[in-house]
Amino acid sequence: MANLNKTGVVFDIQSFSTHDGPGIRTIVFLKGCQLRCHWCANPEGQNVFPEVFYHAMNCVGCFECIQKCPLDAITRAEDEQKNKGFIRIDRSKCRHCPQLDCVQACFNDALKITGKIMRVDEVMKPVMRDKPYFRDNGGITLSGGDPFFQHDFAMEILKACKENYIHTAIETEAFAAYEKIEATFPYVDLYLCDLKIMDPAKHQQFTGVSNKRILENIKKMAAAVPSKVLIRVPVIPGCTDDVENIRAIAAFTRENNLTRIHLLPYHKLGQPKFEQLGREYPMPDVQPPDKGQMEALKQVVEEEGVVCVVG
Amino acid sequence: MSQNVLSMLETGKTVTWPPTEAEQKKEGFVPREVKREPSTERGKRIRERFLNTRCMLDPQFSVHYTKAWQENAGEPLYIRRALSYKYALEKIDPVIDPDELIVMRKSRYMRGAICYPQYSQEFYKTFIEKSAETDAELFDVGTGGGKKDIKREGYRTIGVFSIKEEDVEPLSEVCNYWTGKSIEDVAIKFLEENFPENDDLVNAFKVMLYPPSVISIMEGRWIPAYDIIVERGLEDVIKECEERISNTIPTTRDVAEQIMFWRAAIISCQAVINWAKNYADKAREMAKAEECSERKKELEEIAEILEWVPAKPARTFREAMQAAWIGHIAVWMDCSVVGLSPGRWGQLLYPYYQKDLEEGRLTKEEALELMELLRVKFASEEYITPSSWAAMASSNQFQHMIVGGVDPKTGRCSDNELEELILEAGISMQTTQPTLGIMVNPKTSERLLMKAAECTKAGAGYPAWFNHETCVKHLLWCHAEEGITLEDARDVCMAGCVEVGLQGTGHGICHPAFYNEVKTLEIVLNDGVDPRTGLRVFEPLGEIDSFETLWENWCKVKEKFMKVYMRYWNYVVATRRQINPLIFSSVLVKDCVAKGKPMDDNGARYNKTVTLLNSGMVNVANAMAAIKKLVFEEKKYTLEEVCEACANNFGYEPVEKSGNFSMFNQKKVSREWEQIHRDLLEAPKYGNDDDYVDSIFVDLWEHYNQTCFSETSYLGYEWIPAALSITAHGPFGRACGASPDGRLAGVTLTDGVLSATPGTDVNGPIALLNSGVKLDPTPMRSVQLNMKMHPQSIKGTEGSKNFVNFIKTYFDQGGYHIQFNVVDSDMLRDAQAHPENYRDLIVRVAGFSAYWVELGKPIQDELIARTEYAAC
Repeated sequence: MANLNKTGVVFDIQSFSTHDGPGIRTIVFLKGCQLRCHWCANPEGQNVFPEVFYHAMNCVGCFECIQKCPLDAITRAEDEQKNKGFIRIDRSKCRHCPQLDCVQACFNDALKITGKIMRVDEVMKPVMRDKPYFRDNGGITLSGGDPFFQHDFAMEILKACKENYIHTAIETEAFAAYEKIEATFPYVDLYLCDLKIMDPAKHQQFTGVSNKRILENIKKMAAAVPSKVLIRVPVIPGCTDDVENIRAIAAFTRENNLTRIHLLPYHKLGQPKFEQLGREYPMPDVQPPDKGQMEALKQVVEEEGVVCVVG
Repeated sequence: MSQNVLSMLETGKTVTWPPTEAEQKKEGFVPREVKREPSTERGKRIRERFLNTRCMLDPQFSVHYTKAWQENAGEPLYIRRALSYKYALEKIDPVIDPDELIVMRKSRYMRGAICYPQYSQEFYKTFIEKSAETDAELFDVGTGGGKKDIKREGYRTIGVFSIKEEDVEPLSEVCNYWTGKSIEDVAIKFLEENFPENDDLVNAFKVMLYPPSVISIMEGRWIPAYDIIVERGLEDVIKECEERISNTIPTTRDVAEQIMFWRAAIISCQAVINWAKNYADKAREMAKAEECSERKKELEEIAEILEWVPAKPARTFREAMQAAWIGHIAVWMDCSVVGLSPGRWGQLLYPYYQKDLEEGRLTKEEALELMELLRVKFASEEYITPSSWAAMASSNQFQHMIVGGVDPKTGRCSDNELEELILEAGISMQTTQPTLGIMVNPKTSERLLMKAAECTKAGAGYPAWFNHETCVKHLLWCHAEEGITLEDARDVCMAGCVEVGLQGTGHGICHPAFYNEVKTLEIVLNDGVDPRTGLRVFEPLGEIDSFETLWENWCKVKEKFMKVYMRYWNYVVATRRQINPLIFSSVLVKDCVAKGKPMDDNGARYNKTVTLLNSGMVNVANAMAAIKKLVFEEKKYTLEEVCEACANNFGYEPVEKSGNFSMFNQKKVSREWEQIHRDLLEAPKYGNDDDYVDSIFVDLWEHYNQTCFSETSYLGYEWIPAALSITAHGPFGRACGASPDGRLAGVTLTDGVLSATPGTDVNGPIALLNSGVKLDPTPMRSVQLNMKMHPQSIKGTEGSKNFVNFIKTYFDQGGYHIQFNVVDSDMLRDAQAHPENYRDLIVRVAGFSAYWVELGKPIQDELIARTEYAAC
């Protein structure tokens, strides 16, 4: 039986999602990730604790939040740069206090909290609501962050889903300890494994970690549950999009008897969120790859004898 | 939740769902996935002509009609009506446009409207005089957008319509004749003399609990029995009537009237046959003069067809389509009708299509071209109304064509190739008319569903999706006392935008229009006084000290004014029967001829169809939930404080200043009410699967339904509740002050019936649908849900499959209707800024599709503001 009282930090639940796994799905985004990919689309998923988003565009400079913050983490901006707003949040001082005085003080939608502590049964409520819409092929997808960062919480959600005969998918970096991944085999129908860069040094440079464990994990998963593993490659210009890398990933996929690769073109969805979290976006000038390039890379994958889907 | 709406107020950004998508500023916008052109050059030329044609008012028919009406003053009413109809039909000029294959129309113009001064003459006069109408300021919003008034020599113009100078004088004379004799004038007098609650009626109109009178366009919302004109032909109807007359002796008054009705029916049928003959002669004449041999042949063919139908049974697909079309517009000439719906033409015409294909008379490509041309025919028939109604309905004709459903006899799937062609023509020839709907049954083929999904993705807002089994259930429930057969119930269509209709067997849904829910709440919260006009419309209600008292007061005021509205309408129809009983219209409704009675005298097979509509229920449910929670449960504010905040528009300047009628870009001028405003916005909102507010929503409807049932219609049956708003939520919103749901004064009310207030449905589309299905649609003639989807979210074949599954699941859960705007909000914004680039952009409004540039600004704003669902 799933422990429905187990709690974790969730930063979003999206129903009627059609891009992360088959059919109509509900995506549960869990906070926390060990990777720090430059192109991260959900930077709010990196830290496991709740954080405050600051929408500078909405800020009118009333400074109510400064007065309300018990930790003096908010100050007036001295360098009033365009689009950077009237205040600065010292993230090292912010303790994301539960009463959220700063957010409450803002009437202009400039401060928003991301990340909410939820119990498994609270997560399951919208999932069960959406269940009829899953029909034959849809279900739930755990995403993040990397759901394995909150392994125990994820495990209970997956168990609860299986108790209700719901198809389950996980989007993962496959960076967790293998035992943790292995433990989820009975409860997961599909692993959407991100595989970014085959070159270890480059992987370290752009994600902050080595790919050694990732490759080992995928190898083992492919041996244990081959039908459940799907390799997904974010195509990031200048980082992952060189033909050698894509070819190497395709070869790795084939060698491990996996049959499919999804190529996901880079998008800039993460950029504004980096800024709202007070962080620099590491790749402001990179543009999404064009259709032609995606088609060319698709061909590279297919040349290696692996089925490839773009998007 | 409040953050969403507050953010809209400040930034003017559409709330998209999921919210992460909203935070991304896209470059440009995502175009519609499916976009096609008419399949032939002929189609392209006709479409171009249509888009560049101005709407014309043509009084020719009414001038002849009025002349004959005067000359036949001594005849019995039915005969007088039929003779006038016949004289006028035979007199009007037949006009055939270049390239046309399916011909005939109401007026001399491609986008022409005829006049019906026997209903109401006053506004034609106003039109001519170009003077302002009552409440013109409030209602003059139907003509916004990109249609420019171009001054032309010899024409007079108001809004989108023009009239030729030479027609002005004859129309004025006609109007003078009808002054004091039209239905509207006679009804007003009749009401003044006999209606005990006439003062309440007058007040309710003044404070805009009701919109201005719709008598000028009061008929409609039924589906004629086209099989009578197509499969039997009118000569056979004449024969039937002759036989009935020769077998009947006028014993009682009722029987005598039967004879008069049959005689009138014979005259009307002859009128329509002769009208078609005039067109045939015209085609022959044009053929003679035609130099292009191809066109000459076409014109000769047109003549041959019209010399055969509608008198005799159609023999070919083309004849069947032409005959059905003649039936359609002949009804329209008979009475001032809106929402006359073709229904299941895919079923009607399929046997002809199949036979022609088999016998080599027709190709699939030719059939598609005819379907495309037919769309323009439907779209070209305009009607003119007081500008007040134009604001209400944006002058949409609401002609609904239905695909899907089942074979009524066997209950088996009846999808066919012609229905696919109807959908295809809806993609390749995008016009607002006829609007399309698909009846989804568990037996509906995936092929038809996927075609309908493709058509939806073309972005014109059609087809609307209906749950066939729910519709059948409604009909079996509603017409049980009339002994409805399963076969008739299964043959369900849409009559008008989203109201359930019977295929050729039912009376129309003839109603007084919309009841303003938010205005009612304003009157309740202001102790019986309308704050906008200062008019007391209800005796003092006393202190509201609990939610129960609020509810009781609500019921009191609402019951009063709903009943007044329904009773008023019975008086109106009583006078209509004496002036404009429906003759030819009744010929094409079963079983009027068999019974020898017109539709308005219970001649139709089923008559429990009279409905009342309303607008603004979601606003009221949200307002009541907020009051219940903040005032009576948490006691954070007093009711006076809430009312005061509303009276001060929550510190925002009036919407007239911003010129924006949604919650976009409104300017806060005082911070005094920002806390209470946020708290009101944060209270539970309909559309999030939250029982706290959804249960109030359901209770409100239940009360509305029971109040309808408590009154008897002019046909002797209970009134039926129906729910849809067309575009009444625009002008109604402008007449209402700020409301406790957080809505600012003047802002457009929440559209549709089950749609959420823009920005307040924060848990995604499924939560909204779950809120919606809590309302049982069985006892209601219509329920409606509008959803805006981003094109990206249902892209490709997989996207279409997910989309179809989404709808099927909604229907499994009990949903009745859903329709989509598959369009990027950024594109709509661009269209608002550059209407000249979007002349052919069609969007779904409430129950219908409309050209973007012909919509009023409040409705445009509301459309942009609707929550947009983008898949992540």
